Amino acid sequence: MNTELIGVIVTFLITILLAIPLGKYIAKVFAGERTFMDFLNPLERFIFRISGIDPNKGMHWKEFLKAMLTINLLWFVYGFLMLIYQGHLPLNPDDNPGQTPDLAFNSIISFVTNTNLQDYSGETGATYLTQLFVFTFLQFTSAATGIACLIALFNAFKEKTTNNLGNFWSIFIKSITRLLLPLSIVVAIILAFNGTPTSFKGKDTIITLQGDTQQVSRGPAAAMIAIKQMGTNGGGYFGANSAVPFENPNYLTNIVEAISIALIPIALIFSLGFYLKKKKLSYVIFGVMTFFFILFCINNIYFETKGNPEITRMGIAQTTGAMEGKEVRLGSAATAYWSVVTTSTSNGSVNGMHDSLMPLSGGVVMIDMMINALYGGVGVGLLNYFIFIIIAVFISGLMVGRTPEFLGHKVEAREVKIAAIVTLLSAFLIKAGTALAAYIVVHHTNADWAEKPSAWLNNPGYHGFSEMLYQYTSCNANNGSGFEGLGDNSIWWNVSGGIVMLLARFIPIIGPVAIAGLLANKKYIPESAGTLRTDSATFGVMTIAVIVIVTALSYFPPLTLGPIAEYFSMRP
Amino acid sequence: MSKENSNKLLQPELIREAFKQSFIKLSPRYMVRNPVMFTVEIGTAVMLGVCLWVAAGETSQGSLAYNIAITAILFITVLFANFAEAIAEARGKAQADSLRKTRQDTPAKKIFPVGEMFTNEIKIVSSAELKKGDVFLCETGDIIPMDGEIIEGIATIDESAITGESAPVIRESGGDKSSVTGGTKVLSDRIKVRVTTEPGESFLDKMIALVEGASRQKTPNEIALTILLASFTLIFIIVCVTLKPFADYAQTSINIASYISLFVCLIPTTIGGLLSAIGIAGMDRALRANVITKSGKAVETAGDIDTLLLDKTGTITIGNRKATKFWADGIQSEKEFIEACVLASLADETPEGKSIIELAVQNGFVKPNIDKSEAHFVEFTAETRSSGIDMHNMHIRKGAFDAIKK
Repeated sequence: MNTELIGVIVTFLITILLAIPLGKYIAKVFAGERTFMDFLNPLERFIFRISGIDPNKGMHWKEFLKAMLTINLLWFVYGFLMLIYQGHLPLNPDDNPGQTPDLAFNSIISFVTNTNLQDYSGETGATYLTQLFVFTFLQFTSAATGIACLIALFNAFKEKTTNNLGNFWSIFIKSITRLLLPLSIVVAIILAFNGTPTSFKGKDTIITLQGDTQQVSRGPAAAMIAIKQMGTNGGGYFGANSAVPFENPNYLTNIVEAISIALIPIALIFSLGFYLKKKKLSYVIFGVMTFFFILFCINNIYFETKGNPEITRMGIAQTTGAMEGKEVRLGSAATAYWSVVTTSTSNGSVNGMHDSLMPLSGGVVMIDMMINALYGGVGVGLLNYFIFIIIAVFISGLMVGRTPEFLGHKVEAREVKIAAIVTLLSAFLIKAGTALAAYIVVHHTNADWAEKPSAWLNNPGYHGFSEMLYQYTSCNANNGSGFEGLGDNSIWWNVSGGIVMLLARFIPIIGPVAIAGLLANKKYIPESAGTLRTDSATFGVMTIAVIVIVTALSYFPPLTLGPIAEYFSMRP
Repeated sequence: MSKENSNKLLQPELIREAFKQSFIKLSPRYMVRNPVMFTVEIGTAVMLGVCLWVAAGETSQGSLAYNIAITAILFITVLFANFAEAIAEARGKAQADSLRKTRQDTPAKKIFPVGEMFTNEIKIVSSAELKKGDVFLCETGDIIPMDGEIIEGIATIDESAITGESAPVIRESGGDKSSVTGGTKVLSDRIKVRVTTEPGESFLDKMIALVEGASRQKTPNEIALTILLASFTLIFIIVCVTLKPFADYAQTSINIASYISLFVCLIPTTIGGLLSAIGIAGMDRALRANVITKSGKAVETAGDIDTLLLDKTGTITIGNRKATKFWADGIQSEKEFIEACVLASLADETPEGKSIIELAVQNGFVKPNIDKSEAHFVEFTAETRSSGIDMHNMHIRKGAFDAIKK
């Protein structure tokens, strides 16, 4: 047990130690300063030239968002067509058929929105072509979109008053060439040398110990897994994601992948401090997020290593904790840590089945996704946290009777309206979705559909409710993991999940970038003795309070009827 | 606006009036403006329906006493919010009434084109009766009753009541310096003024309306806070509405009273109910400190102020020119000079002239009592910018340098 804990602590510490210099590097890259990767300059200039991009042309926030949305729409159409016709396209040694339209709809939206919810299984639902040129491709671009929008927010607060949030295209390309590609290459090489498949041949035939013949899928997996973790995407090459030894061969690769999940999100927090020359602010933000993160980790590791009370009641000792759904080579503590880190960063890859997590671990993991701003996804984590800051600044400003302002710009009605809409949206999507699903399961159990609602839930009672709640929460948080007891490859879940993912990705990007653009345009108010400081520990505590209150108030009822009820029904 | 107006919080007449108002404010058209309390009111109405339903025999919603208790509590909540707002407005009205008193008592010399006895007759009416287009006369020492435009004449006017600038300004007909404000005082000459504002729209009226809260615009922070409250309310509507399918799945039944009570407990009823009262109270508070704020936004800005820049003229200085020393130029003796100054200033009603006489009296001279039959006083006028006295073959003039030269 102790070695497992040490393994987790070491992983977390290495992540932070790597994140700080990486944050500095990121700030330098986007501020245009000299870095050691400048040898890529000619390549980038070439890309700009053939695409007709002028990297020095600044963009207003509306232009920025329009550029971002148009290119994402293009990729959606491209990927959708590819998926439907993948059966007829080359690089398909296993002869997998094209996806059904609802499945393709869901899969494409999920990859464009960085969710990577996979209602299909990689071995049968995709070909090598689509795995590489659709899914891996979209993993890079969706991560870069998130980072680019965050840099727009950085640019908004860099100058005193500005209308120019930077050039979307140049920031986008730079985040791929300078950040995602180099890191992914390093991780992919580590994974490949530890046993992750990288071949283009079809299924391999092996003879099992029993003497049967079995076909084992392989494929160019290492490349996809590297960016899957780096870009907080989460979509695995194989259906069982990082639980499968092909994606996560040993404990070393587990550590490497766990570090990669949280590396860029944490690094971006520090790069905020370096970029805006406000290191204290980034420390406060990091402190608030880490506070929650450690709390959640302690909770999950405790419950997973304690084991299942029902099994204890049967008199069976659980020295390694609750092992249902977990991999023996990884252990329960590492799986618990991974579950927290993957839901904090809206990654969604799993190295154990979340459906088998203890009730309160599952509950905590859901809360993590409902907040969606603790480290968060690449780029969008800080954007979501920014909304919490705006609300906290507003409330604390009113409490002390001062005009609320953030980094020298007044926060007025329009910004609060946008922040309120973004907060409302999450609450609405999660709860309305779960309510509709619950209603259908209760009142239309035997509706005449292709997949009857009665077949949705493999686990009855509270756990079934948790499964539905988790699915919508995961879609809303652009996470992508799931309680896989849910029969989610059905039209209802594909379509409703797709809609939720779409809205929950782009509106919480448009909102904060719009707020940043509006604030940046206002007159700069220099700091005075009466300014409310946002880089103090007090403000950090205030933000914690706002996060707790808003999340608890919105989500307590469904959480009570799901994970918490299940916990109380299982207590010894 | 003296200190006597900071009356006790709860005076009997105020309470009675506020109590009546709180029922009147229950009308939906009024309540819609406050989204939070409006939802509570809707909840009360729904509960009333449920009570009648239970009374008619429905058994799944709990006992009648329980439902009636919930309805009563909700009703009192709504009523109390209205009561708080009504009290705040009543206090504001009391302040406004005192302001109004200063306005109505100004007499105006209205010129009637066709009078009772002859044309262009001048009668004294109350300033409240002046309508737009009426012409009135103002002479030395009169307070101008209404905002208007000078159509005939030229005068010096003391506008310190409105602008704070105590040096008199010259206003004349024609040109761009022809408008006068109600409440200011004419220091010399006479003018005919045509009224340019409707009775209720003068500057003073606007201040009164502001204090009363009748035409109060929402301050920026109030608007933002209302948005925040409205969004919280929406979140909680979603929470309560989606609770029903969840409860159905968990096979628990929850009655309507519990839903509505949960909802009312969750939404920010306290802030929502008291928000408008807070806004009015803010302005009232500023008024008690003798600060007149022209808008609610100004009250909020007042909270952010840490440095105040004051124009010293009139605030720490007298503002008017005051004579402090006599400088004789040597041709006559000082005594004769001072005597001449005093004589020339006897008819000068401006503060400068009066201060000359005051200084002379301070220096030991006795103000001579000149009989009007012996001397001809030349009064100070804006046109000549000089004053003087003609007496016993003496012509004494005092005034501006270039005016005397002429």
